[in-house]
Amino acid sequence: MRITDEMLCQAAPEAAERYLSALPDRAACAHAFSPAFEERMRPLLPRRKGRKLWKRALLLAAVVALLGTAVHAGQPEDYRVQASARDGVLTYSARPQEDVVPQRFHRITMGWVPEGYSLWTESEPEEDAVHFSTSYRTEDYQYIALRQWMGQEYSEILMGDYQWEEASVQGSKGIFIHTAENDSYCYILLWAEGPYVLHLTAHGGLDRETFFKIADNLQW
Amino acid sequence: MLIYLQALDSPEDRTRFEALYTAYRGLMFHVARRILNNDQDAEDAVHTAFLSLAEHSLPPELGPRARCLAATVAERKAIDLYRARQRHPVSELEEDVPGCEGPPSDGTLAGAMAALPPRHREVLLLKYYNGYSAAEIAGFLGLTPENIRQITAQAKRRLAAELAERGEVI
Repeated sequence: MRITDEMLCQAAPEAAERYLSALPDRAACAHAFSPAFEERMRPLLPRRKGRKLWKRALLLAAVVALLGTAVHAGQPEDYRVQASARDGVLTYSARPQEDVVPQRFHRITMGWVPEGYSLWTESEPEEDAVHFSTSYRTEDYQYIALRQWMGQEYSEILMGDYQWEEASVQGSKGIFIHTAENDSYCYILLWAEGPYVLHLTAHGGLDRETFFKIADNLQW
Repeated sequence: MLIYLQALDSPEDRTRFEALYTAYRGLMFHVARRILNNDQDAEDAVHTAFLSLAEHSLPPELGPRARCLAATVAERKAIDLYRARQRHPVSELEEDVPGCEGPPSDGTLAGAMAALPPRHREVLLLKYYNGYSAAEIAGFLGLTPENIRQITAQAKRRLAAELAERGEVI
């Protein structure tokens, strides 16, 4: 009796299904990771700060909810979106103001994407989420990604071949960056809308007008 | 640290990694926690698992393959940590490491694969389900490609023996 690669390839999906079905579902795996863990993971993830601010905001939201008081929508000036370039290094950020009003988190999705793009990844729903991301791609891996978060600072540094300018997205001030490397290029748009910071990126395949059309057609 | 930061340098890699992190970190903690029986140790194992994941190519989208990869790597890092903390490390196949038992075999090849000891199961699933090469699996699991080839051969022999014992005709 001999087990061949072909036999294992055929049996593997069912074996994986059996293994995975023995694991609990997402709801049963909820865990509040320690600050030490979050700190160690930070270098691997997009830069975000303001955890303490968010904790205070969450506490305030809980108090407001207990009192049965309505929480009004955040104002566009909840964040300060800015960029500066020095010695070839671009720093751009969205910093929450002290008076950011906590909100129940609502996902913002792309209401329109160009032809040829299909949904690639999307964050799974979490009850206490303050972050959401979604991306679309073409068959040849050109892609668009939207990240959205609330109550946290975002700060990024960029070097190399880039151009940037201030931009307006549905009346909100934002930063538009165009980077190029070898034959590929990337568009980045960072702006704030009410209680949310939004970060839209596109890699290859789009012109500027189409890129802004995606930003202008987000679905709330 | 510089090495894994470089590994995530591409925006595509960062998007994949972040999606995996958001979707499966809870599952990975659970997998590690049931082996290590300690929250702090489990978080250490999950962190180590993400370092491994950051250094290698990840599935392009979330789904069963990504879930399998995340759970498998977390399990391996937890077992490694468990073994490192034992005064007398358990056998190579860790058949008596608590908390990582697979579902019972039903005599089919798929059932026998799922019920293999962790090391064998991990390698076979990453190779035949996720489609990774021996070198890639070695990177995820902290072994060498030659180790992976040996474990694959051992797992095949074990499966054949088990199915023969059950009277299965292949």
